[in-house]
Amino acid sequence: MSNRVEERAQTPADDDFQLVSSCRKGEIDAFEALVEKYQQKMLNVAYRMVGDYDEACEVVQDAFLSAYRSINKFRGEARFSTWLYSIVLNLSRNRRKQIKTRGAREVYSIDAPAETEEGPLRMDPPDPGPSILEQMEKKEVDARVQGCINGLDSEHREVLVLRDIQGFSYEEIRDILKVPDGTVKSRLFRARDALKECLKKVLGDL
Amino acid sequence: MECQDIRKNLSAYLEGMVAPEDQELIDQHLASCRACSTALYELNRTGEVLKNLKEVEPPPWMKQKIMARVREEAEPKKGFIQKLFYPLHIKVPLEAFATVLIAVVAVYVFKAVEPQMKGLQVPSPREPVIARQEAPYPAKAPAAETQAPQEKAVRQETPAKTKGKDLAVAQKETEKRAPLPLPAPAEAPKIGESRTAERPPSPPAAAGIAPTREDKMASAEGAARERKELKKAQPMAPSLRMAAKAKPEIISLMVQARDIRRAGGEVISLLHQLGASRIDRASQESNEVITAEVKAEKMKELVEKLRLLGEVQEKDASPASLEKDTTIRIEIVPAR
Repeated sequence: MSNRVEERAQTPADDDFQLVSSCRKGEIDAFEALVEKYQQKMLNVAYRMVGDYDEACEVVQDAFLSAYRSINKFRGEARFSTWLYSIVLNLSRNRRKQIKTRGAREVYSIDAPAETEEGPLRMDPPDPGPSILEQMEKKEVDARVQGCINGLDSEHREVLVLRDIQGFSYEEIRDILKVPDGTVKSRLFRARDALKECLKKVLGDL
Repeated sequence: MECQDIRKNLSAYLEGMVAPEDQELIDQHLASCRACSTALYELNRTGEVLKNLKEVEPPPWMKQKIMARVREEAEPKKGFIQKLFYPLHIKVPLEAFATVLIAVVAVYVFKAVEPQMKGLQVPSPREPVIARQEAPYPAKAPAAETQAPQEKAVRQETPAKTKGKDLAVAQKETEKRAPLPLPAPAEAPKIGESRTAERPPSPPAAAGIAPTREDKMASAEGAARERKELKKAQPMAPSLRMAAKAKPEIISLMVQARDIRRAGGEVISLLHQLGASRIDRASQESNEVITAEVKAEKMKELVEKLRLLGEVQEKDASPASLEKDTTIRIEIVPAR
């Protein structure tokens, strides 16, 4: 769980400084370099937050455009990437609310039977044979896991996505979400616990 | 430590983020509590499942789409022009306003030009008549010929009286009224018509736009002049000549000169040279009026010599085209 954190800690803190400065001077190519650098991570954060690939693509585009518009307001107090992720998280939250409002998407509940592409998931008792996880195709596992993530509250989902999926450090998460360390830790504990219970339901034995 | 406290710390324990003394306590508890160690296992597995989630790849078009939007933002000047011309919410009212404006201007221009447009609609049958009138006097009236374009202009500026009238009708009416010593005011424009055909430039307003003024002139200068006018129209109305013969002729000329007194003297001597009789000079502050009787054959020479003194305006028909002795009235006015 901590591999990505280590990777991240090795990244220099101000490696985007030059590109951001160029952007402020109106060099569009510099911004293009930043888009190139962060689009995948941004998309993955948005996808795990929103739960829909196309919607996530929209969110990422809006987030980059929003960042470009307000790049002069970026003071460099935090890292550029932190600032960028806070934008995409905010937009993801808003997008999710919109989706909920228009009822276009069923939200997974930890207690309700999980939904899959093939319909409601049967809640069979654990099989004594090989683990269901091993039998299932990876794609399907991913879909069920995403279903459980979607079922989490927004604030729990955020910390889970940032910490356990994207591997951000506690410090970075604190900066992105602008909440104290303790809050991050307690949210993360609840998020993992809730997800564990959900996964046990949808995947059988862990 | 109770199981509940242990479970709360398992998440941090897994990441090695608990204090060393807590670490030891949890280790001891896990060794003895099967439920808690299962919980730790499940938590660890949950972490692994999350870590193994497949990363999604951005679509290849995403960067281009983002950059296209960014470039659009980056060009505010072009954006402004686009705002002005492309978005419908601005364009539609702009177009509507422009259409209304064009319509209003069109109506205004039409109303302003309408009278002139009527003037321009001089019936085409009039043109051949003019040709006929000028044709008999080509040798006698070179001056008149040179002024033909000006005459046309005069005719164009006297639309009201010619509008929609066939000349044949006009002639008929003129014939009918010719014997009358003083034509009724309403007839004056019709007579004027035939006059303008040969008349050199004269003030357009006096020429016919205001028929009443024409009437006044006609009555002031006497019926005789009217007869003379009718006579001049003889090619198209031969009977008019008969009526005109009975009356004496008075030709009015206006000469513009710098020094009207000196010019007056020169005109007097010129008249003497040409054998004019009954020379009369009336000096006023603003003009000099000289009247004299001049032989027809000298008339052309007189006009040519007057032109040397200054610009000559022939108020009536060209004197050079007359066939008999005439009283001429030369008004000398200061040149502008």
